[in-house]
Amino acid sequence: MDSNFQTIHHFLQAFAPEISGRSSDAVTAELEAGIQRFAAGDLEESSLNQLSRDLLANEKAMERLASLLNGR
Amino acid sequence: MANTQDLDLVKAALAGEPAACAEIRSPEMTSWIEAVLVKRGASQTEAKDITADVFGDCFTSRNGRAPLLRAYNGGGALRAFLSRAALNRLIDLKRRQRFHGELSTQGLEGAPVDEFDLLEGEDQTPHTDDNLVKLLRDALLHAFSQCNPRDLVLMRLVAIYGVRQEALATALGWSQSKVSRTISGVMEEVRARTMEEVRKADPWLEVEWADFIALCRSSADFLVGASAESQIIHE
Repeated sequence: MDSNFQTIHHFLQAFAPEISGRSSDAVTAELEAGIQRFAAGDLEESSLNQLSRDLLANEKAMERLASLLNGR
Repeated sequence: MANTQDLDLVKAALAGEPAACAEIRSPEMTSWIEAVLVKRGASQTEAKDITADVFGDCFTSRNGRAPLLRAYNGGGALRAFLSRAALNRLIDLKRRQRFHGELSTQGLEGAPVDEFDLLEGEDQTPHTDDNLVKLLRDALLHAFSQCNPRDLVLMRLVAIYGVRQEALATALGWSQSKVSRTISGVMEEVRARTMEEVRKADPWLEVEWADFIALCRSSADFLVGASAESQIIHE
C-alpha cells in the first residue's frame, strides 16, 4: 500500500465532513446496489463515474466496496 | 502517547521550571528551527526573528492568547511542533509582505494615508497557527477535485483499503496493467496538482512532495485528539 496516500488519508480524516467532503453516513440502498454491481463486475462504464463520486463522498461506502472486493 | 518525554518537559516548563525552559530554548533547538525556516524560504534574518518570536510565545500569554506550549499534545515530537509553529508564522509573514507589495503598486492618490487603513481589521485569534494546515488541506482537496473520480476510487481502494489490483481488474473487466497504470497516473496527477496549488498560494515556499507529505504527517499527529475544525480559519 502507498504510504504517502495513507498519510494524506490520515491527515484529511482529521477534518469535519463538510470540509473534507467525506461523510460517514449510512450507505443507502441505492448506493449499496451500485456497490454490489461494481464488485460483481456488472457495473456499466456509464454508471461508474457517478458511483465513484458517491463513493468518494462516503467512507462507509468505500469500506463496504473494499470488503466485497477483498472477499474475492 | 508516543512523545511522553517531550510532554513531561513541556509540563515542567509551563510549571515554571527554569531547567525545562532552558532545555526547550536550547541553542540546538534554536538552530534546528532556524534551519527549517531557511530551508523553506526564509532569509536568515526572518528565521532568527520568527524563532525568537516563537520562543517568546512558548511560556507566556500574549495578546490574550495562551502560551504556545499549552497547545502541545505530545502527538508528535516537540521539535516538530515548534517548527510547525515557526513555519506558520513564516507563511503569515510572507503573505503579509505580498499583500503590502500589491498595495504599493496601486494608485493610492486620495486613498487613506496609512496603508494599514486598507487592511481588514486585525484578527486577534491565532490564525497564524492555522496557515500551514489550511495550505496543506486546501491544496490536496483542490487537487482531488480536479482528478477523475473513478481513478481516485481505484487508487483509494488499493492504497488505503488494500484491495488487490487483480480483484479490481476482474470487477472492471480490465487488464491488471491497465489498473496499475490508472492508479499510478492519478497518484502522479494528485502530486502535480497539489504542488501547483501550493506554489500558487505561496510561491516563495520551498517544499518538495516528500516535504509536503512529512508536513501532512506531522500535522495529522498534532490534530489527533483535537477538534481540527476549531483550528481552521473560518472565512
